[in-house]
Amino acid sequence: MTAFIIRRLLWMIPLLLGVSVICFGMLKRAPGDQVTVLLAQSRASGEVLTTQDREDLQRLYGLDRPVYVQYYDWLKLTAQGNLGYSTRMRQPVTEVIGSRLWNTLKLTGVALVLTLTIALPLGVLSAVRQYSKLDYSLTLFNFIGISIPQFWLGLMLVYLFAVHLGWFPTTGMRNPQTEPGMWNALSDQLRHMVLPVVSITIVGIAGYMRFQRASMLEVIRQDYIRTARAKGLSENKVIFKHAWRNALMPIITLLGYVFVILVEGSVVIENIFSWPGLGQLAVTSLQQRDYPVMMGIVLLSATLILLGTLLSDIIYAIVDPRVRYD
Amino acid sequence: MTDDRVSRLVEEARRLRWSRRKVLKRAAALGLSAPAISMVLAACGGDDPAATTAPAPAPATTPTAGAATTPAPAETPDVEEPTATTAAPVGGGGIINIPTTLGDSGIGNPILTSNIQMIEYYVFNRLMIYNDEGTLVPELAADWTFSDDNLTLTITLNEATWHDGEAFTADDVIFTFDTIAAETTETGKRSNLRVAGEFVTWAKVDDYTITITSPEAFAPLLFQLNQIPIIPEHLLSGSADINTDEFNRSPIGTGSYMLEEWASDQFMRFVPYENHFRGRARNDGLTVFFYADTEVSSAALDAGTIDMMFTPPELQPRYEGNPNFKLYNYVYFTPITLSFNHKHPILQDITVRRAIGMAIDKVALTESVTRGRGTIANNQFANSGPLDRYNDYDNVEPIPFDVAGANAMLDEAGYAAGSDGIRVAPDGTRFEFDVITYSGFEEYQNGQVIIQEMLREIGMEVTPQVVEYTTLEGMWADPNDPPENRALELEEWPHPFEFDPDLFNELHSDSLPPGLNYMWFEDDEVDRLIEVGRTTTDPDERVAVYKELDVRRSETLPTLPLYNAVDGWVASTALQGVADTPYYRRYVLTSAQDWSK
Repeated sequence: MTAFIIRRLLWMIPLLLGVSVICFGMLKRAPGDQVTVLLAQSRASGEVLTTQDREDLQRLYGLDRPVYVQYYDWLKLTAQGNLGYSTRMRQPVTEVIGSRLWNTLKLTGVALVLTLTIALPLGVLSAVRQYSKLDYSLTLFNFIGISIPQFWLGLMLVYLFAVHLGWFPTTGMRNPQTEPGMWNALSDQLRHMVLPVVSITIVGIAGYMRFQRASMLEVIRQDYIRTARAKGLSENKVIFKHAWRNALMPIITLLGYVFVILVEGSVVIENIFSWPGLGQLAVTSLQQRDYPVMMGIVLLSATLILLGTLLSDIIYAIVDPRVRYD
Repeated sequence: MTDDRVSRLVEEARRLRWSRRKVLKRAAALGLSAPAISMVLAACGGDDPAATTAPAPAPATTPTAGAATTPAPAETPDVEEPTATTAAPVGGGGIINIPTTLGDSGIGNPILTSNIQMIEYYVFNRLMIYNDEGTLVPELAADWTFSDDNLTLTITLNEATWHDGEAFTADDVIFTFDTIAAETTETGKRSNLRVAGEFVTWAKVDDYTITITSPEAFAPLLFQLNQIPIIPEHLLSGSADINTDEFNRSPIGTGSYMLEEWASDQFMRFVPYENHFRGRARNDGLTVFFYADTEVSSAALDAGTIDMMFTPPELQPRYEGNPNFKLYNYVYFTPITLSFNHKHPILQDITVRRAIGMAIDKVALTESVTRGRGTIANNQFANSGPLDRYNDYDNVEPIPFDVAGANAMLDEAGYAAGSDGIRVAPDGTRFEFDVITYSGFEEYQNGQVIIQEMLREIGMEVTPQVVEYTTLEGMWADPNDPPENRALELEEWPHPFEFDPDLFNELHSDSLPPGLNYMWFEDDEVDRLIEVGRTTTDPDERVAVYKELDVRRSETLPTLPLYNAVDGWVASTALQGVADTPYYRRYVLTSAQDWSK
């Protein structure tokens, strides 16, 4: 197992290198760059701008050099643990990403725990009581949850619970006018979290529940479940000890990507609720052609996907004794 | 409550020597009743103080009366209507909440980015500034005069202090200009200090006087100077790298507000600067929220989180007739136009461009996309903005809506229709064009579809394309961008928010891509008129030059003016002191200190 893990970790290096080459190339191929953005912002405020401004800035940012030279410089810095400076914020990329990471983790962490806590048992219940009223109701909920666009759900929640009922704030992570004090800050933050968390959770529940139901249905028809019942085991023991454990295998595969979900957050939800997390940062950085930050986010995502799949392979081996990586 | 407002208004009107018109306007904005307005007028003396308070003319100047005067070097400052309030310290006006959908650049140094305009205007001051009526008025400058040859501008400075208590002096202005000119500064503001491609020269005369010398007489110089916020020399002169200095996150200026808190991508909190040279703001502070788009802003407005916002046409019906909100007009300085890519072989033919003009029913288009709020445009600038006086309504012939005539013209020019009804050029090129616009404006996207239908009537196949704004900017700047990619463009053009009519960047042949003449228009006579327009300093003569340019543009059709957009902005009726100005974008930045709740 150790050799397998080391081998996989070493494989990550060329894979990450490949990802960085492709992404850098694609970003550079996109029309516009940080100079275009800077000048567009200036123009929108009625500035006088000339070709000379553009050339000055392109030289200053090193954009007048060939793309491969720009990539080499970026790679050299990155290899030293320096992801460069955000061209939008003129701050180190690691600081920019780091400051958003915790915000996203707060949101998606709570949403993920709620999603799994609710979706997995309901998925099992739906499978065990297949074709019952409960199963039909949960299936209907699944279809609705999967079909509803997340941005629409978010906006509807805002209009109902924030605009009309006034129970929660419309957007943001905290109220600038909140009275000082830890409890005030905590309660304010929780109020701001409710609507985005609910938006992520509803869609998440629908997906995970359906997955769990399908997997469970397959397992409870297996011979060993019939055997367990024939042995006279209680139904709870059959379902939760023998069936569920095996039905969790596909979910474990999905959980390999939980890292990515946790860190990347919900791009759509963070934007709708003006939640200053990584998802919002990714969208803004792309719009503003902040390539250093985009490359930082891409590298982070790629690393997490690779680590996530490695982790799911390891968990597989732990959960299923038949799996060996020797 | 009314008494308080009346007394405040009287005090302000007396102090500023407001004209009767200005008093009436402010009184209406405050929602005062007719008897209350009469009281105010009576208390102010009822006279038009403008007649007795005209500023002393500078030696080489011919001041032009009226709020709509063109800013040009030959003018003296209009000191009657400063943008910031000069009322005695009041406060108690609550905290005003406003949104921005332009994103958080994370940089508070206004010479590095113009992205966060709130910081640029609330925290910092400029030498001079356009007020909410489009007039150039002094800010950190007390006044200015030009030499007889119009080459040297002498600016006398106001006494002001930075938020940390240090005195503002000429050193700060010189430092700001030096920093902008420095090669290592990541700024888009250098051209504001250039005339004919060369930097103007600047010098300190004494602590409160500077001179700026230009290589040639240059009419837009004051406009360019108004784009430069002044930064503190005492805090930044020792900076190792101004692009990444800590100051950029904790800016200190001379403006009406101090930045109290900045939560990235969430909000910025401003508190009034008690010692501002024009007096303290009426309110107790401002909070600017960063929102993704107008839909999110609208929800926040409905929920009472914010007090005002920009509203595109599709959102306006939500607030019309709602007693809790007041809808105001918001105009661009330029019409919405259909621009032609002059590198496109078919569109180079003036007959084709004119035929397109004749095939578009501007009345129907305007009515539909602006929901009845816009007006037809035939001239180079919007009829509702400060550049209207440069339009020549007498000599520009509107292009008639005449589909049959357009078809006849194209037939006669040899562009016969193919078997599918789409015309074909003699070289076999089909009349198929992409009409491009940028995302985020439903109005433009609706316009694309309507134009597509209208041009089908004259045998043209038009395909709407919508791209992100930065992508479009990238296409503009690329000299190798194929003309087929953006044969036609639908957008506000040439410059929606500039107060000066100079069109060198947009239409002169020296500004072809990567310059801003991205529609590749070239015409010797237009070039000549643009050059004359920017070096003519007499305001009246300048108007005459641009009127001539308007006529020439209507003959050569670099672009087809379609309609003057009248968007809206909406404010909660709980907000007091809001003026009904069409310059919302500028007004939100320059008049926030007048508002209260």
